[in-house]
Amino acid sequence: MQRSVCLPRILLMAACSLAIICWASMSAWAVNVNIDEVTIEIDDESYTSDDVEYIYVNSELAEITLDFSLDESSEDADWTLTLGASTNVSDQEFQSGKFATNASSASTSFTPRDVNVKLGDQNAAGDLVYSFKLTLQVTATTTEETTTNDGDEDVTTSETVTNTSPTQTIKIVVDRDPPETPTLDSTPSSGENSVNLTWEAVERSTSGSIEETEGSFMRYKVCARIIDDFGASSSKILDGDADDDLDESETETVEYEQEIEEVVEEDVAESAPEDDTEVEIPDFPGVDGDEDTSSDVEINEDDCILRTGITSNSYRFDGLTNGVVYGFRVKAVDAARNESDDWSNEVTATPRPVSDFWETYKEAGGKEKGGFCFIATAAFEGYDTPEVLTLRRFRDDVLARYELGIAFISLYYRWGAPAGAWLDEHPSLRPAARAALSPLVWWSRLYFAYGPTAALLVLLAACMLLGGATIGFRRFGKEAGR
Amino acid sequence: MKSSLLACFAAILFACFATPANAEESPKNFTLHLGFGPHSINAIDDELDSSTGTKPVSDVFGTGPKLMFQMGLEYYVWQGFGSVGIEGASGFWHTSGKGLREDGTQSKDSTTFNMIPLKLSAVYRFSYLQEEWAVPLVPFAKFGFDYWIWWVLNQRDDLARFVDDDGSSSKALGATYGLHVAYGLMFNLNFIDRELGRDFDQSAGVNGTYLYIEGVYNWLEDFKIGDSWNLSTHTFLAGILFEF
Repeated sequence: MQRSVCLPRILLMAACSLAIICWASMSAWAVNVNIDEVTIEIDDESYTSDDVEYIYVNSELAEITLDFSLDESSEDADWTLTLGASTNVSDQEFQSGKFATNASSASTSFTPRDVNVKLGDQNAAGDLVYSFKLTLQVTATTTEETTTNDGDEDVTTSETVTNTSPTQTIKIVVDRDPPETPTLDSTPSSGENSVNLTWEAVERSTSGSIEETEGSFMRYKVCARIIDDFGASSSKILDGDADDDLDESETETVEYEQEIEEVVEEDVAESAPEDDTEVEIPDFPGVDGDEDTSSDVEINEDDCILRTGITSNSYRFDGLTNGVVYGFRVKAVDAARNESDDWSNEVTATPRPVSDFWETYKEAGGKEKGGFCFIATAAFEGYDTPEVLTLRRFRDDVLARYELGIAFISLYYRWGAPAGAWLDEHPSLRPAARAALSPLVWWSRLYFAYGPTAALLVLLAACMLLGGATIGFRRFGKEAGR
Repeated sequence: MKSSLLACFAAILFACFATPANAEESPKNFTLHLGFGPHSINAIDDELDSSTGTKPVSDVFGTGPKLMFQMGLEYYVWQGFGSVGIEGASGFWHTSGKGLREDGTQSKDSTTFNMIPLKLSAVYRFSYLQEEWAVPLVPFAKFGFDYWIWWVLNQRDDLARFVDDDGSSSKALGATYGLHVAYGLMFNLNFIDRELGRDFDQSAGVNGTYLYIEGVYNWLEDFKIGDSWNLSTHTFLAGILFEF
């Protein structure tokens, strides 16, 4: 009884609460502006700033484009950029504009020089560095329709609501101070087609009136140049993959590879042989880690295998050729893209072959070959028998190309191992297993010899033959029964 | 004198443990365990020709064992004088080392060995002492099949490859099957706080929470058929087990 009274009340309260929440959420329209991206263009080169709150540029002429957006579109919205108080002047309007009707995004461009003109001489913090703060605010208007129930009738009323967003701040530092030149550790470590380098981290040089942001913005570029290839024209050349340390855009990574290819083509080999070519490493006593005494050698970046955008003070320079003596130098690049005036000291190192665990094991005479072919391996008593090789090839070259084939492979891996183990325990059943697998082996060979069409035709013919034989056998059985 | 002391000790033990089993206990059909234990692959070194002096595992990864994580789920197929269950378990093991230069010195290039063990076991847990006399210790034994998937990565984090003198290439990805036998002991934590144990059962259906330790013999050599390497080891696992 009590339950039957309570239930409608609870439902009524829930409905009322829902209605109140809906009404509250509809009427509490707020506008928020977000700076989505900051693009900087200078000397026809364009890049996106890592940080939308702190922007570092190295020229007053750098064109800074702000892309910003509203959380919700508005019928009528104005935006205003205000020069902030960190410039020791009172806030003043710098730029303003309107969003297109019902648009939720807009953008504006300016150069630090525009700001400089606005502020006169007051913003300069020394000859080379000055900084300023901009705040972005939006005032947006929208019409809200509210429906209320007046007795038996629904009444809709319209109301125009104007909201002002909280301010979004960006801080811009114009910094033309080059960072210090780093010092390379004189003991690089050679690896397979690679050299591990370390150097002393360089501190930021910026000294603007805006407070420092956390973390280091310093990046580094490393140049590797071929000092002596010792006849390494017969050595292999690997692809130059950027290391994990490299926090760079894809475009820049591609640039590395192109640069590497170009340099290697010019300096090493006209006709590089296959990857598997063995490299004879000449003995270079005392080469690794020796500092080049002629560190004042002019470095032309065109002669470098160049890596940029390195964020830590160590780097695994890969994509090199074993046996070739390389000289390495490093430069610091700050957030405003100022580079150290000079390249660092040069250290030399020679990449050498390194055996990973698998190679070490195999070179020591290990016989494990890897792989998963259980049933076939057990049936044909060997992983490298021609039958198993054919089936493996069919698995890798044909089945693995199709989703259904991959599903079959995973099913086989799940159930094949115990089946293979069971076959191993019952060697007398191996001939039967071989007989069962043989059609598949023959068919795979047919597939590779004459192509998929011929193999499918043969499969179809075999199915028809088998079907015909089955039907014929049944009819024969029935007639014999009569 | 000695026998009377022993009798006294037994009586005290019985008085401590012998509380009647809770009649309202929820049914128990499964166990779930999470465990850790040391594992090494040094048996690989033993299979190689010792005259060469090369011990790939020791030289690259060192001689010490590395931690293996394992979890498993067991279903009781019979409960009577103890319980018999079928358990599936899996885990992960990883070790990393430095590649070797031609002169045998270690470089800074890393190489890693990874394994995922897959185990299917029959488990017998002798829970009779706990059920009849409230002794919080449960010995158990396992026997089952193993299928361990493994792979080796080189300094570029690619699958390692080796090209033989005859030009045939092998990838460091495969699986090794074998058997295992395990034996161990579980300690029922409900013994420490029976009230908490009862609450856990009533609220989540967990009948017992145990700490366990087990010794494991893994015989992993593809049953010595073919050219498999030897991943066999004798080790132990310890962890926590929930019965529900």
